[in-house]
Order: sequence, then C-alpha cells, then structure tokens
Amino acid sequence: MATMAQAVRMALHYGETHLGVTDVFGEDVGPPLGGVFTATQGLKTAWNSPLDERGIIGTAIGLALAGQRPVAEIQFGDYIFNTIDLLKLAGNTCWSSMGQYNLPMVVTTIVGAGIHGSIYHSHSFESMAAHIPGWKIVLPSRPIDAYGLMISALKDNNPTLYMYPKALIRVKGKDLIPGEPADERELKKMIDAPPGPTLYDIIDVRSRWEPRWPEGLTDYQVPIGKARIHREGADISVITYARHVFMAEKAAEILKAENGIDVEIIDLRTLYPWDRETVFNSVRKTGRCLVLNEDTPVCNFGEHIFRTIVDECFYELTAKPRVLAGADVPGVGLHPAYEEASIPQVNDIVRELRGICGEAP
Amino acid sequence: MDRTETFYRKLSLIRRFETHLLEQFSWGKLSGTTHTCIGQEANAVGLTAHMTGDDVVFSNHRCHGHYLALTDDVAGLLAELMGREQGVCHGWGGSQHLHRDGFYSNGIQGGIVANAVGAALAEKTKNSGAVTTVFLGDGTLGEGIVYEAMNLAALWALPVLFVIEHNGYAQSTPTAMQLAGEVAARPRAFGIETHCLASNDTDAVYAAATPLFDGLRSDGKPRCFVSFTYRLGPHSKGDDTRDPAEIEAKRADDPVLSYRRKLPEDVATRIDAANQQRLVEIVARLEQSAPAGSQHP
Ligand SMILES: Cc1ncc(C[n+]2csc(CCOP(=O)(O)OP(=O)(O)O)c2C)c(N)n1
Ligand SMILES: [Mg+2]
Repeated sequence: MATMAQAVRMALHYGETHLGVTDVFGEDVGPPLGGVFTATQGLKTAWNSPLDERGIIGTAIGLALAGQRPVAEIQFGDYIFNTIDLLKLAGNTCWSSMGQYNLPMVVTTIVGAGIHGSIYHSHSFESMAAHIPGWKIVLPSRPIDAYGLMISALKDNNPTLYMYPKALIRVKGKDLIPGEPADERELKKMIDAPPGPTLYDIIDVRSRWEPRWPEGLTDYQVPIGKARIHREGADISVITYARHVFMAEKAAEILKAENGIDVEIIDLRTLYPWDRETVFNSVRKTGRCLVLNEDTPVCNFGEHIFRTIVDECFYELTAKPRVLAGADVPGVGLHPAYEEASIPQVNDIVRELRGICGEAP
Repeated sequence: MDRTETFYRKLSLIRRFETHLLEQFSWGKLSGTTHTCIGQEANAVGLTAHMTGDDVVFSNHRCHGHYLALTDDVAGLLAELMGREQGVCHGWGGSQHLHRDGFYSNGIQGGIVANAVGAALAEKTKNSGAVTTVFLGDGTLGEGIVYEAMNLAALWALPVLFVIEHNGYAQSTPTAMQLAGEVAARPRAFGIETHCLASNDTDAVYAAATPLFDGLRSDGKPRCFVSFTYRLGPHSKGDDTRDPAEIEAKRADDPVLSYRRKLPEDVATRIDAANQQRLVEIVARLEQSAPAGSQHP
C-alpha cells in the first residue's frame, strides 16, 4: 500500500491533471529533490522557490486571488511561524471582501515530533493554526485520508492548511487508494524516483526519470469536517488525530487485555471545522473521554474540544474528561528520552485512560 | 605554534570531527539532523582567528566549524550531538542549537541576523568594544528579515560583521534559482562596506578579514564579508543531488588538503595524528558515559 508521501504525491498529480492545479511550490519542492519527504517528486507543476516563507505564502495568496489553485509548501511546520501575518490575511480575505474574493489555495506543511528532530524539526502547529480564523485545517493519519483530504482541499474555494505528521509520512497504509496498483512494489517502481547507484548519481539518474502515474486515480474525497471512528468501544472515547491515533490504539489494546476496558478512538482528520456530531455521539455513548494530542498544553487545540464537550455533553458524562497534551516546554529536546518526556507516550495514555475509568461516577 | 600550524590544526580537527559525524549518522549511531561545513572550513578558521574574548557570534545550521574554531570544545559539541548531559546544551539542542559564552546558533534561517543586530546594540551600549559576527548562507538571502537587519545595523551604526557564506546552493536548489542581482550590492545598498573573496585559503580569508575587523573595532560600523566557497559534503547527510562531476572538480580546491601543503609533511602528519588521537579519546569517553535523560525523570 502507498505511504502517506506517495498518497500526497498521487493526489497532487490528480490535482494538476484534473483539478486545475498549476503551481506546487516551496523550498526544494521541485526537481531534483521533490520535497524533503518526496511528497512532490515527479509532479510536472512542482518548482523550487527561494528560501523565503513569506514570499511563498504571499505569492500563493496572489495566485489564488487571480483565480489559480496554488499549493504552497512550507518545508517544516517549524518554519511557518514567520508567515502568520500573511496566513491571517489569507484567512480573512473571503470574509473581508464580503465573499467577493475566494482564495482557493492549499498550504502544506509537515508537523510534530517522532523523528528525533530536536528543537526545530518537531513543532506542532495546530493550536496556533486554529487561532487563525478562515482556514480549514486538516491533519490526516492514514495515506488514504491524506489522498482524500488533499482532493477535497484542492477543490475547496478557500484556504486549507494541510498538515501531515512527520512520524507517519513513510508509513504504509492498510487501505488501497482508488486507482492505486495493488502491488506496492509496482507502485514504487512507477512513482518513486530511483536512488542513483551512489548518492552522487541521483541527479544523473533522475534527469532521465519520469514517473508513470497510475492510470485509474480518481477524485476520491474525504470530506473536510468529517471524523472517523478508528476503533469502536463502549467505555471511553479518545478524541485525537495524527500520530496519536496509533498510539491510542496501542494503549487501547493494553487496556482491553489488562483491564477489560473497551476504548473508542476518534480520528478527527479535520481540526477545523471539526466533526462535533461524531465526537458528541461517541462521548454520549461512553460517558468518558480523553482528548489527546502532542502540541503544548496552554491554549492547546484539545482544550477547545474539551470545553465544547463539557458545554454540550455535561449531563451525559460519567467522569471528568481530561486533556493529555505535550509538555509545557518551548521545544522538543534532541535525545529520545527528552522527546519521550515531552510528547505523550503509550504508557502515559494508558495511565490517563485508567485514571478516568477509575473515577467513581 | 605559529599561525600556519594553528590554522592547520583547526582545519584538520574540524574536518575529522565532521567526517566522523557523517560516519556515525550513516551507521545509525547519531540521530537528529546535522549539517557539516566540509569544504567551507577556511571561513570558520580564518574569521574566528580575529575574534577576542568579548566578541559575539551568531551562527546558523552549518555551525560546527564556527563553533569548534572559536571554542575548541570538541567534547561538548560531540556530546551535544549525542544528546548527552555533557553537551554544550545538555543534549537538548543538538547540532544546530549551540549556546555558550557568546556563541549562539539556531536552525531558523534569517532570524539570527536580526538577533545579531540586537546583541551588537547591547555591546555598543555597554561600550564593550565587542564585534558581533553573524554567519548566513546565500540561500538565506531570500529571507526579508536579512535586509531589515542590515538596515538597522547601518542606521544605528552597530559593530556587526555579516558573513555570507556563498556555496552556490540552498539545500538542493542552486543559487541561480534563488537570487536576482549581485549579492554584494545588497549590503552596499545600505551603505555597508562589503568585501568579497573567492578563496578557500584560510590565510586569504584571514587577510581579507583584517581590514574589516580593524574597521569594526575603530568606527563601530557594520561590515559585510561575502565568501564564495563550496560545500564538498551533502547538505545534511546523504541528500546530495548535485552533479558529481561538479563536486569532483571542486575537490581540487579542498581547503584542508590545500592548506596542509603549506606545512612540512612531518609537521602536518604530527598535527593530524594529534587531532585523531584527541577525537578517538573523546569518542571513547563519551561512549562510556550515560545518555542524557537517564538522569532526568
Ligand atoms: C526559516 C527556515 N526555512 C527553511 C529552513 C530549512 N533549511 C535549512 S538549511 C536550508 C538551506 C540553507 O541554504 P543557505 O542559506 O545557502 O545555507 P547552506 O545550507 O548552503 O550553508 C533550508 C532551506 C530553515 N532551517 N529555516
Ligand atoms: Mg548556500
């Protein structure tokens, strides 16, 4: 099955051939690299911008104002912070022009920890992003959602911040993306640029290389604003997204085996506008919930979900809900022990879940 | 030790250190990111030789050479890269986040240039006579804040030395795809005295920087040094997409190997052996010590 990098690439290819995408750009996005994580390799509309994040976002806004459908990449979420004023502008354009101007642009960036990237390759951005009204914000955990959300984002007439988790970018999916060849080695041969016989030969090999895109790719969409139930359960709901979907799954297995507790996991997929209905239904069913993510804890996006759950489901709760977020530290340290202490790990999740379930109603 | 020997000792130390790093990464023994200055060592050694105790340095992601040339702190840097307690920043920051005794580096391109301006303002106010040097790459000239910082430094007449290490690339993107016009025209537009040098010879770098440091120390106004150089290693590790023939051709101008020829063979061999010995001992010592975090709950 495709990895998330391959899924994004295929969706962008579909975008440039079927959805009017004319520019996919950012630092090292075009040849020869095709993006640090190869998510834009082989695309015919991909090109390299200068090292200039504000230039990238500013240009994307201009292109979108002119009616094009740009996809602008910020190489790491850690480098998007200096563009916030422009992101604000993009978010308010439709509103401030009373709907006269749409801004059909997608900004992609990779976020989160998990690769021992230390201070500036580990940041989360979702809580900051959620403070910028006017954007749709997505953060898939599975390649198939990465594909479907990208198609939806490319079709949307207003800005979408498309984030994807560093830790999952090279993880293979379990579901076949419509049109993806069933044999993953075949897919690799078709769309992954070959490494050269030595590293230094890459350019030589790649200059002759052209991807063979799968013929049958479709406009398979995952609607923006729709969560998914990753695991059904009766006793407690975990509201999460990105890498923590799978960490919660591991915790759920432990709770099932050791405590007989049945955990339900909601993968939000879209953070704004988030799927209130799916979340409320789950919480009303289980009466307990843990909101889980790895961003820093103060004004954490999960606190907003927590508050909304308290507002809407208070009388159906049988235990106090909790938020489990990253540590209140300015960055993630280099050594794995520091990273683990800064980001919720499986045993932290187990502890919180047991704690909530152990509270007397 | 005479200057030639000192310079060579530093050049060879930095090269050995960074070659060791790339090996360790390729064996999976180090994690995180790293950017070596292999091929660009002449700047690190030639420029830091002008610095004195109070001077301040801001460096970027490619900072190991600057740091080692200035501090000689091999053990601290290696420990930092290994995420160890004994590291410069106790293993929190890693390769591109070194902070110690007036040396600051971080991985956010552009921002440091303005930070250097602020630091220089502080030194000026204190009347310390210190020079603040900031290292940036050619690609980073894409960031608008570089020009905001140059404007402030010129406007407020601050003793900042902007060092542009122009190696022709930003990651995989050639400079020709990034920059319009002449690089030196940019600082000059703010009235900043600018000197360009296309040489990997440490003595040439040192000589070219002499009037710049003299000027900075006498009138306190900013200066800019544009060094045309080349990185012989990958951008980070294993991510080289340049034409192999181009890299091969540049090997003729390897700053470490060429400088070695200035010394009698036996002297150079002795220096190499001493550096090697020192590195081996530090590596061995660190391998026995506890990893960071084992002391932290
Ligand atoms: C604000 C910001 N954007 C992007 C990056 C990612 N990045 C790290 S190094 C680099 C290229 C830097 O090129 P240059 O300034 O020429 O320095 P060189 O690597 O050539 O020494 C990029 C894009 C970053 N570290 N910071
Ligand atoms: Mg460069």
